[in-house]
Amino acid sequence: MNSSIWNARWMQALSPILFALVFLGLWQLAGWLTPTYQLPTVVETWNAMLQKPWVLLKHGLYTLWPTLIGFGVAIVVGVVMGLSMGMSKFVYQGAYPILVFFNALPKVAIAPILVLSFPSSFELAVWMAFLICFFPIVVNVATSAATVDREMEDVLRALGAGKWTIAWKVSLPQATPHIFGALKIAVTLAFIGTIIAEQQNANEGLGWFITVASANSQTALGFAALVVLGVESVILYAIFAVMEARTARWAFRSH
Amino acid sequence: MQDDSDKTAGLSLQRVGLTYPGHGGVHALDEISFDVPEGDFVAVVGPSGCGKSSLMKLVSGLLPPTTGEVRNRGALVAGPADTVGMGFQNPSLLPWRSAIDNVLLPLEVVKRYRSELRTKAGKAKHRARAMHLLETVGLQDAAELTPAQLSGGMRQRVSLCRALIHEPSVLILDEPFGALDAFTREDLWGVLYRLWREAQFTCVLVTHDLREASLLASKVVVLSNRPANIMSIETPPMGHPRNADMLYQPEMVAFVRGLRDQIGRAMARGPAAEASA
Ligand SMILES: Nc1ncnc2c1ncn2[C@@H]1O[C@H](COP(=O)(O)OP(=O)(O)OP(=O)(O)O)[C@@H](O)[C@H]1O
Ligand SMILES: [Mg+2]
Repeated sequence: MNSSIWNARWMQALSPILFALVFLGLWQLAGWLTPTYQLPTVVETWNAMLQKPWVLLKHGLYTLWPTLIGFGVAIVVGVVMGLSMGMSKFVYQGAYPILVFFNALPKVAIAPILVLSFPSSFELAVWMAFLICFFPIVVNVATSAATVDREMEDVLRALGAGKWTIAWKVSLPQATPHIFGALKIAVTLAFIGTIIAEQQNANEGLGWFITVASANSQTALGFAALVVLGVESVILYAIFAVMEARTARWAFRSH
Repeated sequence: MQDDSDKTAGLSLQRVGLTYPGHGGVHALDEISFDVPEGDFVAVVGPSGCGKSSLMKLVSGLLPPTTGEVRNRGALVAGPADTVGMGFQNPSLLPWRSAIDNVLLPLEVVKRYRSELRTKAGKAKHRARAMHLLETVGLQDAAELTPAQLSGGMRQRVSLCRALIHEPSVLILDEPFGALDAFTREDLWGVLYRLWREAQFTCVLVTHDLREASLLASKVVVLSNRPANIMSIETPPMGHPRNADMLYQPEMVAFVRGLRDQIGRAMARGPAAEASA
């Protein structure tokens, strides 16, 4: 038995807090040793947040909306397209290489081109968020939908079930944990799209705010914006992680 | 509903042949003809790969025959019809649904039940029916468990209930007990036999187990190697109702041995022996 204090249950529960404190401590130390415009300390960042809480919140929401919209559209379009792809070998074979190509394409490279089509920063951000999330969602849904048990399919087809009924009753629930797993990753990517868009062309949003703060050497303010962004991203990540665990429960209920 | 259907006619296969389409398509079934009277129990046996599963796809309407025709109650089988229930060796239950919700699945698909499930009363009624079916197969305490929490035999029982919940006129089983151990299999013979005696559906059972075929069926159809033809149709020497003890009576032992010899001969001379070389 290893009964060292580090393995005690309460110690394990406490360890994330301990590590966070150590991390903040190191950050504070590093901040002291470097000029503020390079690396502000924790306290300076905190003060910057307290200084302009409403401004940060406003820009945080500006960034959140297009991200959620682009993300939501990507879910709907991606799930429908993924299911239809999974249903037909022909479409699956044909569309897969294209999807892989677009998925592999660095989306940062698309932003300057999309700016021409979408001069409004909001639209641009929606599109960027959409583009970044869309492909992982389609690929996950399609792969999962394409692997329906043959005999299960026969059982339902013999009852007169069409392809969409089978997709709805079997493929989709079977794919759900994978979808949420993909969404969990995709939602953090969605912010990349929005931030890139805002840094291209905007006068609001956290992406714009960070660019301006950095241009004015207000590094502490930039860090404060990063913290807001991180919190938003983590909250969405956590929501989908919980959904994934809930919908995947059947896969682990084996005792 | 047109009424060219004849309630007493049962299932009828007339010179049914099947060649899978495509390059060098496999000629699976040559010319199969047999009738199953309404409410009767027929077993289909034959060498592995001779086309038994393919034949069941034709009977269920999942595949159209290349030649000949299949009729159910006099009506041509031209595609999937919800009057058929199917069960396979793999129970293929949905792992995210409880046993009872798996049993209810067909009702969510079959048109005439789908509307009934929209009301609370309809839902309760059919849930009670599903529960009753589960009781019949001895799973009254397992209704809320998920497939992962069930044993192989229990899963196959759920699968049987699912195949029967929409009250099909024909039950098609393709080696349903093939993956089970000997004791569980014998147990399920009893379960299936009782279900059949009670509900009086027409049953077609594909099996590799000649004792199973002889014990349960009124007629045993013996198929030849691929492309399958009927070698003979045998009648087990016992009337209904049956019980497992009958398997040990000399007439039955001789009957099973007779089946075995026939299939042995089919395997020794069939074209599949060349094809697999
Ligand atoms: N979808 C298909 N396309 C082409 N050929 C097929 C298809 N399904 C089955 N076959 C071929 O048809 C023949 C009969 O197959 P089938 O599955 O009906 O045999 P079976 O009697 O059920 O065999 P087993 O006893 O091993 O289950 C085989 O040679 C098989 O390769
Ligand atoms: Mg087979």
